[in-house]
Order: sequence, then C-alpha cells, then structure tokens
Amino acid sequence: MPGKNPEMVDKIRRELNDLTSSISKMMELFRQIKQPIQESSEKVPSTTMQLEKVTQQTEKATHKVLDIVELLTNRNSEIIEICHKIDSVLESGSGKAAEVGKLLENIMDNANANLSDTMVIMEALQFQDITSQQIDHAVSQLEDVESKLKTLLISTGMAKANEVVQNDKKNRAFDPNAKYDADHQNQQREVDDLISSIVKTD
Amino acid sequence: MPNLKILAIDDSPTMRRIIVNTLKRAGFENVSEASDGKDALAKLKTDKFDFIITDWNMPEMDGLTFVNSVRSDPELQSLPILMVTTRSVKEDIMQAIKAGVNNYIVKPFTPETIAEKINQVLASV
Repeated sequence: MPGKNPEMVDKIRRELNDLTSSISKMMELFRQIKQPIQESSEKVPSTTMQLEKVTQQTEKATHKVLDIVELLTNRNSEIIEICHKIDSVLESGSGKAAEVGKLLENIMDNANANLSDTMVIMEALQFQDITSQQIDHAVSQLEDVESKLKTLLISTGMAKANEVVQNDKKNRAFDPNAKYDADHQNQQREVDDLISSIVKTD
Repeated sequence: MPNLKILAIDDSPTMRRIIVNTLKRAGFENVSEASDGKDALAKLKTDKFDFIITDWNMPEMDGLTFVNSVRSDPELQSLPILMVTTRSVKEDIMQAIKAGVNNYIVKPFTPETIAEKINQVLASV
C-alpha cells in the first residue's frame, strides 16, 4: 500500500484478524447452542402433552368419584324416604311402635349424616377445576418459552422457518392465581365484606 | 324456590356437575348447563331462565363479557347473576360488581354458601 502509514495498515490488519476470529468463535458458539435450543424447544410439546394428560386423568378420576357420590346421595335419599314411610305406618298403630320408631330415627340420622358427608366430598372435588387451571397456566408458560426458542432459532439463522414445526395451540382460559384455599370460608367472608363496602359506597 | 329455573355456566364439566348436585341438594331441581358465555347466550335465546350462575375464566366467551352482554340486552338485563370463580383479587371482584353481577362466590365454595347467596340475591331483586 504505497503512501499509506504502514503502522496504521498493520493495526487494521490485526483488528480484521481479531474480528474474523471473534466471528468464528461466535459461529462456533451458535453451532454449540443450536442443538440444546432445538432440543429444548422440541421437549416443550411433550411436556405440555404430559401435563394435559394429568388434567385428563384427574378429571376422569374425579368423575368416577362423582359417580359414586351421586349413587350414595340417591341411595341415602331413598333410605330416608323409606324410613319416613315406615314411620307413618307405625304411627297408625302397632305394639312395638315406640321401639321401632327410635330405631328408625337412628337410621335417618345416619342417612342424613351420610348425605352431609357426600356434600363435603363434592366440595373437596372442586380441587380438580383449580388444579386444571394451574396446569393450564404452566402449559401456557411452557408454550411461551417454546415460541421464544423457535423465534431465536430462526432469527439467528440457526434454523430455517420451514424447518421449525409450529404446533397448534389450544384456546386456554384460566386464572393464573387460582388456588385451593383450605380456609375458603374465611376467604368468602373477606369477599362478602368487600362487596358490602362497595355497595355501601355506591 | 324449588321451581326456580337456573342456568349454570362453567367450562369445567366437573364444576358443572358439582354445582348441579349442590343445587339439587339445596332444593333447586331445575338446573340447565352451558359450557361458556357464548353457549349460555344461545340457550338464553331459546329458553327462559330465572337465575344465572356463571364462572369467569372460560374459552370462547368469558364470564365478564357474558355479564356485559346480558346487562346490555333489554330482554335479559334484569336476570339475577351470581358469579362463581377462582378469581379472588379485589380488583376482579370490583370489576365484576361494576359489570352487574348480583353476588360473588370464590371457589372452592361450601354447599351452604351457594344456597345462601342465591336466596340473598333473590331477596334483593
């Protein structure tokens, strides 16, 4: 390079060499991270499917329990009805009416207690709706990570857009803060107080 | 009010079943179901109901949009609405009341709570 400052030329050459070396290192790094990113983005759909299976199976089991609770409820209602009928027959006159009447009362008390217990089971089974919303929230966050990883793969040139499989996403409706509060009666009281204060303000 | 015709809206089949059973136990035998706001609006067009119980988070049409639709429809606007949802944040409750729900229950609820709220709403409308 005639007429140029040899020192300057040498400096530029060194800078260019450094830059080339940096780019090579970066390309190597891209090559190294491509596989983990691709693998991570491919793992998300199977994790999502697994979580959805949890929801489906818990729902199935919950419905099985509900089937039995419904049967128990109906049977108990029938027992109570039969007791009432026997009681009215006894009232019409019988030698040991008082004794049998007491036994009937006992059966009815137990049947009523069973009915109350079935309602408690029913109340507890609401957990399935709440856990399915929590799972939906987790799945939706995983889908978000998957989508970001795929965007990264395409935008960095590590993969072509047509090489990246885009999965159909389910329309999910969930409360991200859904929780099964053991003290839900207290929680309801707080809601009631809030509503009362809103109504009073209006 | 055993003859009260209730429409229970929830996207969870489990919750619909629990609500229907709980209402039956409380003496409300006449309960129909809808899986979201859109389904409910279609049912309200073809059938007459006295009371609505709705969830908030549902696909297609959520509970809040549904409440707004009902309140802006001259034929439906006076229907009593009870919201039953997991959403317990103060701002959400205020938003629901502002939209026109008559009362609000947080899941999970006790059978007593749902019967008590229905009776409270009926007494106030």
